[in-house]
Amino acid sequence: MGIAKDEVTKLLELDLTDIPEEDQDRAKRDVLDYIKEQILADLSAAKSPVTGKAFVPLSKEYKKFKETQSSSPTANMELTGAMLDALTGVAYDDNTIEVGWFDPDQAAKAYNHTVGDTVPQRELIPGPSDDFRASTMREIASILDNYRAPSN
Amino acid sequence: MPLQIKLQFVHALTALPKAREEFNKLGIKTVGDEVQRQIESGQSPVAGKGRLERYQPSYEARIDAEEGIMKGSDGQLYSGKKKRPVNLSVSGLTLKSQQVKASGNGFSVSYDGKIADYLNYGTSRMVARPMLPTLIGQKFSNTVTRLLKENAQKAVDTILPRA
Repeated sequence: MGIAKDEVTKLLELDLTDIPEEDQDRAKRDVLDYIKEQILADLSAAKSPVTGKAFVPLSKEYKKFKETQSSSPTANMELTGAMLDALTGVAYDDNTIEVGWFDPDQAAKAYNHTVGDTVPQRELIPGPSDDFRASTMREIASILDNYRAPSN
Repeated sequence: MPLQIKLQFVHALTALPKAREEFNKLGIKTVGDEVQRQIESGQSPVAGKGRLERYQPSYEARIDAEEGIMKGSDGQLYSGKKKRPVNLSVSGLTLKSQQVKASGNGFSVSYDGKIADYLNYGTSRMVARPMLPTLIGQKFSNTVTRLLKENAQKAVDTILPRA
C-alpha cells in the first residue's frame, strides 16, 4: 500500500457515519468509480489529480515520437494505454477503499512518474499524507451525503 | 433511429419554466461537450464503465499496416488514425453527429447513424464501447451528472431572488 515501485495506491478512509449499513457497499463502490473517473479525466487533460496543476509538458523529442503513436501527443500518461487500463480500485469490508496501480509492471511506470525518478515528476496519485485535489475530495463528500438519510 | 438518451427534469426545473429555459441556454450544450470530451479522451461517459476497451489486436495491426489511413463510416479513406486513445473516431462523422436538444420537460443527447449503435452496443465481432447510458440501470458518469446538477442549480439561482 502507498507509493512503492511494485504498488502505487492511495488508501482512503471514508466517513460512512449515518449511511445505512445496507447502502455502504454501494456508496464505497460509487466513490471508487468516481475517483477512477476523475483520475482519468485529469490525466487526459494532462493535469495532476493531486495538485490540479498542469503537468510539465512533454519534451520536443518525446512529443515528436508520441505523435507517431497517439492522436493526443500531450502529457496525458497514455502511450500504449496499458498503465491507464490497469488503474483499479478495491472497496474493503471496513470504511476504506484503495485506488491505484496494483499490477507491479504498471505500478513501476506510475511510480516513476509520481516520484519523478527518471522522468519529470508528474504526480498521479497522492502520497499517504496528501489528498486528491480539493474539488475531488468535495465531490466524494457529496456522493456520501447522497446516501445519508435526511435529518431535521 | 439515432442512438439517443432522453433525460427528464425533476423538482425545481419542472416547476419553474423560466429556470428550465435558463438551463437549456446554459446547460445542455456543456453536457454534450463533456460527453464528447470523455469519448475523445478514451473514456465512456457511462457511470462505472471507465476506459473504453482497447481496440482488438487485429484492428490495431490494421492501423499499423495501413499507417493510419482507414476507411471512415462514409466509406472514404481518412489519414491519422492512431491506436491511442481509443476515441471511436476515423472520419469523426459519428461524433460530429451529436445532437443535444431540449425536449418537453427534459432534453436528449443523440448520435446519428448505425455506427453509433454498433459502437454503443457492440456486435458479434466488436465489444461494446458505451457512448450513452441507453440501457436500463445505466446512468451518466459522475462528471456529467455533476455538471448537470451545477447547471440546474445555476439556472434556479438565476431566476430566484436571493434572500
